[in-house]
Amino acid sequence: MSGARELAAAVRAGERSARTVTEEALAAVAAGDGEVHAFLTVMGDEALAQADAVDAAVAQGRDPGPLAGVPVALKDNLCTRGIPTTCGSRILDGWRPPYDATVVELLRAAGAVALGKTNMDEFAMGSSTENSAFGPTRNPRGLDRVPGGSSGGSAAAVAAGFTPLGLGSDTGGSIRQPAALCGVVGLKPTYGSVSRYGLVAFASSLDQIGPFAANVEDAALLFDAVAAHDPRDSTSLPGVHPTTLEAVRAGADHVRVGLCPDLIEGCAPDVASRVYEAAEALSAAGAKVDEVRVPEFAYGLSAYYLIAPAEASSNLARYDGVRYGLRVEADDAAAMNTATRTAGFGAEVKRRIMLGTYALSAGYYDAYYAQAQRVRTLVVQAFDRAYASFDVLLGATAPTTAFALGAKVDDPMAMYMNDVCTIPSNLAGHPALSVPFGSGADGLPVGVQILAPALAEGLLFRVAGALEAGAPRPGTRS
Amino acid sequence: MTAPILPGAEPYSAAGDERGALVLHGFTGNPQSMRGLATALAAAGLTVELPLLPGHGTAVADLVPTGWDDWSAAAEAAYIDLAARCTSVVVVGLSMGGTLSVWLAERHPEIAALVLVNPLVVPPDAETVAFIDSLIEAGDELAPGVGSDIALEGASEAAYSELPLRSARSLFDAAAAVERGLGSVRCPVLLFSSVVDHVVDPVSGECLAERVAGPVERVRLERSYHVATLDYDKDEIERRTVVFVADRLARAPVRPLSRHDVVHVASLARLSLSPDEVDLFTAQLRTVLEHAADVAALDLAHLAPTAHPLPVVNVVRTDDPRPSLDRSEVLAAAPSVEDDRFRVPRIGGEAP
Repeated sequence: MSGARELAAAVRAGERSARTVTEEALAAVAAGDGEVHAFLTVMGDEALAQADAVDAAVAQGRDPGPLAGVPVALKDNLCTRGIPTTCGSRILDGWRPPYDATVVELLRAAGAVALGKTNMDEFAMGSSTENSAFGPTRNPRGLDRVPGGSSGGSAAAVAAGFTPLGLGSDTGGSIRQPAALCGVVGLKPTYGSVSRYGLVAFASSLDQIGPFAANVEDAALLFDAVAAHDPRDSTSLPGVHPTTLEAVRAGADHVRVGLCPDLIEGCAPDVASRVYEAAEALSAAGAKVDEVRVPEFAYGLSAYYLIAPAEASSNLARYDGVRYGLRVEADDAAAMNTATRTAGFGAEVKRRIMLGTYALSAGYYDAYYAQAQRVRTLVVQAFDRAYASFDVLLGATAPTTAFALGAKVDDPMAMYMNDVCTIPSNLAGHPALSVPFGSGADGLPVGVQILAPALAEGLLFRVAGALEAGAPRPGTRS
Repeated sequence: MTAPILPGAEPYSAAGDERGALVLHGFTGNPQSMRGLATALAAAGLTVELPLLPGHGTAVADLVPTGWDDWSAAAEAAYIDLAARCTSVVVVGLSMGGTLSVWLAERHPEIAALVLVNPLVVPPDAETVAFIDSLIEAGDELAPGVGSDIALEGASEAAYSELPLRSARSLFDAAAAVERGLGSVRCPVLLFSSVVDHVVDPVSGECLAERVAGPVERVRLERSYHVATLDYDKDEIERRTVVFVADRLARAPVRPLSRHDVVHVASLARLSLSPDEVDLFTAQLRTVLEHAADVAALDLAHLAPTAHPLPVVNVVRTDDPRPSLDRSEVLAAAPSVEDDRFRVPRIGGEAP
């Protein structure tokens, strides 16, 4: 399938019909998703109806939107009216939301075609998509490997060529890490730049929706389409109108890049050497690259795995068997709540709910939760210090290439370590982007991470565009 | 010959986590006046020692031959024993217990914090002391007691009704020395000062707040007299002490997560676990919390916590009518519905 820009241009020009594009995408999913399992729900009829609406607009001379006819994969924690939305959990099995997420409305308005709902770690808790109640997704670059997580389904859908675009959510790295492992581009935008209305909450002060794409320009195109102020999200930033698409070809000349060993040294040698090569490629492209130490990042992981579970334990209290989703009947309400939650949640979700409940409980609140919030301040201040001298920071996205299915699923701490490089940006609310840059020793993709201050997505796309242009050919081993 | 311990005057100990609290009673009083505060600290998880100081809690005749050296030696021994079992210790004292607390903090700078209720640090004026000396010279051993200065009707302190004069003199001399050392106290202090105190002149509190080197959080008690731990402000003192101590000792390593904690937390979260799951989750959560020890050990008291990446403001929309979600569509998603409402099983013990 061609890129999103080419597709939209062809549909807008009347050279291709949105229906044909959609039918081809549906056919690709039907042929290939049996082994990948990127999708939990394929929205065949709805997608074709939307495609027909786009074609009608083109036929009537109306503007069909910048994403006219482009298929998009939606992570299954984005509410879609009348379409099952499970969050990868038994507890929401069969639930059909009575409303659309703001991003779903924006995509429709932009002419995009929502192709289906993608697999994910249950309630976005995980780094491999193995925590889905509906079975794992396989990495299209190596079917015995995980696609990363928690947005593994959307990353895999783009990597497999089912759709040129996907949306995911990133609470501690859930867009960037699967993007890196699947060899696609993934952006975690500035907190508040994309509306969270209709995103099923995991950790509200960290969650942010963002794009997946096969190339940097397409990621910018999708980000520009979904980033907007939304009065229905009280944490939505006012006056957000990004125009990052034009930044992609602007080059990295004179951009001050801080190469951050604290985001590299814990990584596998083949991943680390790709990041250093990326720094050289940016130097060659005219960027000013220097090393910058941010040792405070080391504390991010522990702080995150106290703050995110604490917020989750509160957010997930709503699954009580009363208003929606699963109910396991029992004699009284409390027993019904317990039976429902015990049957409906998987092991990782229970683990995090308990961790969060514990961190918030009397006697431990100060030692764990309040202390983690102070670490959050420490990380924010460390970023501020680094950005006094640099425009962006450069590091690895994930410590390794895609690991084998089953390798870490029984060892939560080993799984959590996947997020060590991505967490700082979530704690600070900053944007960060993963762009493919060559392969590891195993031939699997390596992602390089670019970090920027709040609302500096334009800089991220400039640097990402330069890295994409200077990246080794796919499949080249380090 | 020592008289039997008065009912309620028994010392108190509670095993808890790595945070210790040494709680000290006042002159002529006994652990009865501090038991509520000590048990509140124990309930908050701390390891607590509330010793019975020499000569106290039996009969006043036992107090007559004792003095500051005996009480301070006992308090220090209790502190050293507690500190050996704990990673950080707070010392809590009422009146003379406050004098002892400050004295300990001057000698043991590792003490994490002090909580003082109407502590004595400034001895009475020279005239009063001279008058006491004249009584002692005239052969008097005892004077009327100072116990049970409490505003609350029906509350009383089980203190001696008389006061040994020579013992009191030793206390005043020691207080003068403690006052001179105030500048060396660097730990944080929570200071409760009764506005009306018929035993210790409020000048003690003023002097202490002014001269210690560490930060002082001062709480004025409008309604309580000297023995405020038994007075109107009893609950407030206990509540604020627990919060203060939890804050100050927050960085102490927390005891490892137990199976019991996991069972408790699961019940709070409305989850039911099999015994095997309890074992598994205990081990897994302990690993995560051990990793978090790096964060728990950081000294970050100077940093404000960040709850949110943005300055969060309350957002209110204009009060215009607009369509809401469709009721039948919302109810269609519910597991059980009756008469256009969500249907739930009976709550608690109500009849169905």
